[in-house]
Amino acid sequence: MPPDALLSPTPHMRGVDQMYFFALDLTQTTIDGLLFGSTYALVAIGFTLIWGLLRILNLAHGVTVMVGMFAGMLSASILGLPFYVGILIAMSSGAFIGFLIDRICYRPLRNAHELVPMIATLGFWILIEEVFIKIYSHFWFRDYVPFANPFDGIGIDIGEIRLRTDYLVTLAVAALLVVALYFLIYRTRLGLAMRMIAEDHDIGNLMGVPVGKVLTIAFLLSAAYGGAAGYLLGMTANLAGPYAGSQAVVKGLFSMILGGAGSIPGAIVGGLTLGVLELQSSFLFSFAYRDAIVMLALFIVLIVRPQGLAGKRMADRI
Amino acid sequence: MLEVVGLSKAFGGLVAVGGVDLSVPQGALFGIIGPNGSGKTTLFNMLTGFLEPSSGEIRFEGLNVRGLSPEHIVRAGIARTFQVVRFHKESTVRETVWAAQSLHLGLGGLFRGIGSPSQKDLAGEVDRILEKTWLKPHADRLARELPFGLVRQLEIARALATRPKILLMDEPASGMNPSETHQLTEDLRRLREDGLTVVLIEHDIEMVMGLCDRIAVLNFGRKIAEGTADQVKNDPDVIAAYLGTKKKRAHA
Repeated sequence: MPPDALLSPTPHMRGVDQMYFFALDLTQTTIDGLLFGSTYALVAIGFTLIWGLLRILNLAHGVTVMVGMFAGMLSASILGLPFYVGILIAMSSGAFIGFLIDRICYRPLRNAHELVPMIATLGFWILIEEVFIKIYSHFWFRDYVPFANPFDGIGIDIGEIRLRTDYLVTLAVAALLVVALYFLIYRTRLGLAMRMIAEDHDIGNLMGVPVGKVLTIAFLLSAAYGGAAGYLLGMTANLAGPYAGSQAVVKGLFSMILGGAGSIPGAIVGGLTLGVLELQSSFLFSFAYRDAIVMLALFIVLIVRPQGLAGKRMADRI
Repeated sequence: MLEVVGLSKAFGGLVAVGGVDLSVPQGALFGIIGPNGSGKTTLFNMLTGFLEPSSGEIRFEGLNVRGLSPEHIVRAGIARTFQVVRFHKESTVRETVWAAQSLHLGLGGLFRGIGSPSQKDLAGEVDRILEKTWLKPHADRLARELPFGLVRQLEIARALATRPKILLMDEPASGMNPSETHQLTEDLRRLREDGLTVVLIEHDIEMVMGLCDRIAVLNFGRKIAEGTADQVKNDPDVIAAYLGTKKKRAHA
């Protein structure tokens, strides 16, 4: 057997060992994908919150991810702050952007046609990203800056499978945030108000629910989750880049639609599925085809299940 | 309590409500009747902030409430129910009433748990309201599972949870059978005894005549009569509007 056949992960080889290693790699990639996919789920939850409450596609959501990532990078790499402080800083910076989105893109335009706030978020996204890139290129000359990852290179080995610590931490943070969100939505008056507003704004008004305040809180929350996702994305990649926001918009929307637009379980399922799809297509085919394969998968899913993987059928919703 | 002066609403060239004056005293059971398209619902929509009036004044307890948002009008103490019932289908009866209490809590209250011990008084109020509106046995059912008659009660419960001083009801008896209508009449009387002022728009003239102590009649957006049931019943303009003179019928 030629020596390079042993190294190649492709399945069309003979021999039990090769099959064993291939199966192992496949499992490893799936696990990594699920763990890493939780960052996409967080981004998708941010989109879903605003979509569910306002039927607005908040295209500026990527800005919160980018700002969270750079706030995280500064606190981790420059200031050397511990992980839990960094993520709180990232979330607060994200939330600040959420506040701006509410005040600039939504509030003044809430009585306009439903497309208008969406276009405003598009403008906000482009404006902030361009300005940021100008500032960024003033300080750094490469496309990426290193993000100090406190969990770099460590992991837990279970047999031949390795669970990277930074991925486990990512999943833990994402899971904590999801549980907190469920608690908020189903156990507090704020959540009750959100559910009411999601169904019908007028009745929310009629019941004296402070709709404007609740929506501001929703923007803050959605953006804080975006900020957390930014920190985790930067940490796991060991890099922070000014285009992270744009990438996050694509991945987040992708997860949201893949899972089923408008539902939080859909955002989670979509995010995790996207994580697995991306890593598997890089592993089985090539990194160069990753996005094309993922798009193809979305296309097939939407043909078979237009409501998304975990979405309700339209008929059930009406 | 509620004073309306020269209230008008025009949609383009169509005058839906033209210069209506109303004065609803404290504790009244006030009825507004009129044929289809006479502007009753438009009037309500203006009173509750869902529509901006073209001209005129709305005063509630001496305060100008014209131009306030629906949320602020509810906070001022004016609650309403809809002709075509609108409710949150995916929430339970109790949740709906809980949510309608939000305005009694500040922003901090929003971060409290539902049913937390610090809100015992609110929980007690929910029970009282559900009792009053016959919804107690159905408290934990989803709103969309309720039969029609109880959905109406849910609307009333939701309105009561905002602690209104005045309740505006848009055709509460529409779609009800006679025994349900009778029950509703009894319920409204009891609400009035509890100190609530009620204004209702109705199609069911019998019901309004039997229930309300003061009745205003609208036709083509104008008030053509106001008075007690007997006064209104014998008013020639009212008879003409409802039965139609030959001339008016050709016009319609």
